[in-house]
Amino acid sequence: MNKEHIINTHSHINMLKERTIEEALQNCIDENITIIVPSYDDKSIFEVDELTKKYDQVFGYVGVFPEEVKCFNDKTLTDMENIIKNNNKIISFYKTNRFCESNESAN
Amino acid sequence: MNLPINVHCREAYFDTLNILKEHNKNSQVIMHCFSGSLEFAKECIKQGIYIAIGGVVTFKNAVKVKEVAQNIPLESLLLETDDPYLTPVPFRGKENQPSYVKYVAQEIANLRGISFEEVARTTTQNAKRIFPQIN
Repeated sequence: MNKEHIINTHSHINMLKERTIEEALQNCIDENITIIVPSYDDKSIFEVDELTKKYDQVFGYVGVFPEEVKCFNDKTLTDMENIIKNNNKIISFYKTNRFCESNESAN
Repeated sequence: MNLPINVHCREAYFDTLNILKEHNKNSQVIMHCFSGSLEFAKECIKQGIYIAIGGVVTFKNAVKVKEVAQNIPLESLLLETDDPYLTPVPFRGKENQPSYVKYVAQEIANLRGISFEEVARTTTQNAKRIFPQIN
């Protein structure tokens, strides 16, 4: 493969609707692209964990979108910690901080 | 755990930076989907923060992001797509996908007057510095 390796540091490949994950990943393989997939809620952290185990060129972040913080509890945190401890392809925390106009944190 | 932190900051630029200055211990930080000014990008870089740029840089009217992509050190830059959102030109309006990151790299190369390969090589080296797990 002669194409220069590219790391795409943020792809929600598990949210695509017009093509399958396999199709999108084949396009990445053809272009020598590695991707990092963030989770967005308490359930998708498991989805990302599975994706990284299933596909060589997929790595993951764990975290939640601010609009999903209502689902974030102690179990979510424990789940995230367990995933990180047991999967060395989970390589970062993902965190969205959106401040209101009053400067009040969304989380 | 000392893992890198990926931050999406929306309209809270210096508040976010101040929080990071105060609370971040030793983690590497990435500003995902960067939408701030060149001034803010330079302040981030002073703190060792990486700037991740996606398909918005290909949009004709994305003056601020183009300015950032053109002027910050290449060693502080990362590539992304944020698919299925923010589809780059020439596929804007259709669903984004991760392989379209090549259009992001090409636009940054055009803006900086350097080769696609140089953008790809340097941003990949940057990502591997943050994430040594990726070979």
